[in-house]
Amino acid sequence: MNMQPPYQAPYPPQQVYDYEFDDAQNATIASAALWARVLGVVMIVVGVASLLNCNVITLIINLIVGVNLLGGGSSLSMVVSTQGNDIAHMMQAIGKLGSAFKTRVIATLIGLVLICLFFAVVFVLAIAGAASSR
Amino acid sequence: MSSMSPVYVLVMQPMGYAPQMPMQQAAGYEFNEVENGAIANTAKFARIWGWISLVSGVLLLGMSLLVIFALAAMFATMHSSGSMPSALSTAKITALGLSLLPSSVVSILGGIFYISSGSSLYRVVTTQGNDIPLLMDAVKQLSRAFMIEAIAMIVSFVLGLAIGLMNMGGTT
Repeated sequence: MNMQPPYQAPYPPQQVYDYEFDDAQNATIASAALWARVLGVVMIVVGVASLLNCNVITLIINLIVGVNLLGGGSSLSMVVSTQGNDIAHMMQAIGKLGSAFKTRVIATLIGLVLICLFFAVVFVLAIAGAASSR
Repeated sequence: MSSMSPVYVLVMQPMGYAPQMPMQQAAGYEFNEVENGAIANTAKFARIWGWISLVSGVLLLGMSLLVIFALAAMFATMHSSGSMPSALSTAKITALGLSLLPSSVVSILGGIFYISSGSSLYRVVTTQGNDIPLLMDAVKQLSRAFMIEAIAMIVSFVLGLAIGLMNMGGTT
């Protein structure tokens, strides 16, 4: 009466529950992979070109975002070109694209704070100048 | 008793193994807690970036329309009264305003697609039973946003390069 062997899965549970995207879904993912990689390359090129204006900050931000977009695009194309590990590749892509968005958001917020600080300093200096001239 | 064992195996095997994979494929895929955490993080930043892009696009559009209509009308009045230098013609101011329009439209469209993508990703986390269609919707919106942004960046980069080279040619 050994009933245990029939219930034991012969393969790991993750293999059993893995999902395989169909052709229509693969076409959508392939399109996203293509444009993510194109945008990544363009961002890196624009970042390198910004060195002509000695703009190192743009170079660093564009490099980080571009590399993450390239990585995300590669993971998305792996979803299409490989079989048996689609969800893992998709999660990798989502993680890398999330890092790209995070970098952009943080850089924009820091830029906004710096602009506000600049105007605040100019405003304070203008008031101080006006007060001392009286 | 030993003769009943094979019967058990034959009966239990289909219930234990066979239906699992087809059922899972038919019902789609449900992301687990860890996967939902990563998706929620990406959804949050995609939506924030979308709003930043949308707001900056609307501000740029407002600035563009202000330059095209208000400033051009003001300078046209000044120009007719002869109190404005000829270098700042109405046509040049209108051209400056028009040059801001494509950037604003790209920012607004990109922002809408990023927000839409982030919302779909967020629904993947908050709903059950429809994860794959929602994920595909998010991927489709992301693809559109990437395409618009990439084409706009290529066009503006090539135009900027051409204008820069023309100016260099003009000064030498």
